[in-house]
Amino acid sequence: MSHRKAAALALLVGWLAVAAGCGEKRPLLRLAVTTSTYNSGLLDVILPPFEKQAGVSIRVLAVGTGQALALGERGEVDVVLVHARKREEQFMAAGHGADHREIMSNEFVIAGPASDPAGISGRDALDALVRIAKKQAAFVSRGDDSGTHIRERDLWKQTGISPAWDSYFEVGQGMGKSLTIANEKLAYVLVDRATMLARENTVELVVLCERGKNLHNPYSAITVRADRVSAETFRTAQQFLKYLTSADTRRRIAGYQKNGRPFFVPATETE
Amino acid sequence: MGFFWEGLREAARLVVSGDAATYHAVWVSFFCTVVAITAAGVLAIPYGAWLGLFRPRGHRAQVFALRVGMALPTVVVGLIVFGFLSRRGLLGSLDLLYTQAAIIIGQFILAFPLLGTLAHGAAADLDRRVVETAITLGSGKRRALWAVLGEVRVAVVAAYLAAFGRCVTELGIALTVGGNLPMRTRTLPSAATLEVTRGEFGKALAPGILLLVLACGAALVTHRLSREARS
Amino acid sequence: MIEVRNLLVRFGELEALCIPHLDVEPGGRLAVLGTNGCGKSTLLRVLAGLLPPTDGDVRGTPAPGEAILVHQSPYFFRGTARDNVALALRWSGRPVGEADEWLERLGALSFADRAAHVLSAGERRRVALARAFSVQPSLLLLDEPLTGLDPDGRERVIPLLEAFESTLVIAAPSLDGLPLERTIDLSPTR
Repeated sequence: MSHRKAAALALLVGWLAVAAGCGEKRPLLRLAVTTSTYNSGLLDVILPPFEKQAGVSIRVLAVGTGQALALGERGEVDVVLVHARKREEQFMAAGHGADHREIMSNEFVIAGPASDPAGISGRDALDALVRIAKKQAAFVSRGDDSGTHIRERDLWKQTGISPAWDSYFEVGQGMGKSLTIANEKLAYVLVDRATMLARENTVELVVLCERGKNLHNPYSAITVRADRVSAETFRTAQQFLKYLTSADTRRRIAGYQKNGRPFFVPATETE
Repeated sequence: MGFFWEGLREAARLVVSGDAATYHAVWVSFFCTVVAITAAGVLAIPYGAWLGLFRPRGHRAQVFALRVGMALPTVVVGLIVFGFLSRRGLLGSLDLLYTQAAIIIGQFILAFPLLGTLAHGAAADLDRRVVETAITLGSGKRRALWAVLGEVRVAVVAAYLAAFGRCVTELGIALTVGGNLPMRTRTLPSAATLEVTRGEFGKALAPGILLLVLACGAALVTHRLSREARS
Repeated sequence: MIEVRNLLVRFGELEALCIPHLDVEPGGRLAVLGTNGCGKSTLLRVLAGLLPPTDGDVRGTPAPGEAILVHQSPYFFRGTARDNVALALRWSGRPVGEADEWLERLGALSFADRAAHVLSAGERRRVALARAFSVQPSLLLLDEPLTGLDPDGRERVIPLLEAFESTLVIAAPSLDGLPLERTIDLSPTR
């Protein structure tokens, strides 16, 4: 290859690399959300209005709750949106977060095969789990310290049962994947309402158990503490938090539905 | 970088304490990959060498297909196998999903084009006189193939090492058709990924370091083998 | 009886070999002479069944294993000189013990235990000829068999060629002491 051609090629590659790196001219807000939130598709509805109004570009990372909080602790992200109350409280108590607001909620449900071998249909969550354990029915657990997994562990603790039988599967994967596995194995699974709604056409599992306060699933947003990020980013993050709790956003969340059924219920104003 | 040291410490602790889950993950990774690449090699290496040596009709298209196969993302392979093994799939009744067998099938598909391409390259590069000598000496085409494979032993060993590396570190197949079930189908890469999603970056490195040890072991073995082959 | 009619071998644009008519009777002996690049080696490969003609007809050549071709630069497999001769014997179903006998005849016994790859050109020629003779083919095709041999080597090979009973075709730049009467010359006349 002649020298001139080589130089032109190098220039082209270099320009592409720089262009790829530059990307957005607008300032960046980094947001870590859990996989269930991400998979619901809600973010596509509530993020763009803020991006436009604040003139920022939001980079979303969909990771497990544990990872999201770890990233927040290290200042790798500016805002986290998770659903694990106790972990959130630990996070705040340790001083990693600046501000904590509940944004929305839905419930967990126990889904399972239509044949319902453990007979849990219509029962409350704890009763259902006891029956599943007694029957040693197939059950898929997130097994990854996610918000869903933490709730599942709490429920088991309340029943006094330590789940460990041959067909209790701790898959260590995200909600979507875990649901797929449960579907393949025709197993019971604890799943959040939003994911279940989004996937109801692709799985043969049905919702069997949806009663009880212990299935309440609140989502909160936390801004990372000020000294971990730049001043401007911190201001934008606080703005974002205010936006998430605004009436406009509440309206959008309530309006995000499938066949007339909402994925999430926005938090009330007194929060 | 702090989590790097944490990873080293955690890896040492797991190995020394004989942590059952860790040892089992090492076993699953090693076992599935070795079975997969051995089975794939038995078929792919003679096939690739045959394509390179005898250049039968349509060999160009087949070599092209092998090369494309080499670039298959593991997730795609995982999804293809999932499609066959899931309850609604053609082979669903075999109940193979989320077993080590499923991982082996997926890694077989991953390794086959890689081994075939490398064998083809080694054979095609050989002096034409190798085949001619073998054939005129009355070996017949099949024995000529074996004689040639003996000549390219070094290349064959290197091909196996490459396939081992590709398979033992893959994630897409282990997660999609293995299911990451602890003490059953959890491999070292899938265990590492789990720790990452938990936010335990240090702990995530431990399976990674063990993988490295495994890779070193494989490299040592093949190094020894190729030295013997050369002498 | 080998019959060659209107043989044409082309490599792409290049016409490598053109022989309108050639007969070799069983047990016949033929020297194929000519300048470098005139197609001698190509003819041998066609007769060995390794190269299909681009056009024309070659009939009566024996199956591989019955026709042995010794290349201009012979190829050896991994192993010692003896290993290579033994391999050929094994493939043709002959007793492997005969290897030493043939190596001795070619004066190659002294280096029979050395790796074939490291031998000198003349030594390799001897081992390759030992290998070819040991199999006792019905058609022996030799490409420049005397090249690289020292006087001792020539003294051993020429009598073996004289005594060879089956069909023999030798390609060489010139007759040069080879015990053959019949020759054809492939040198281009232009």
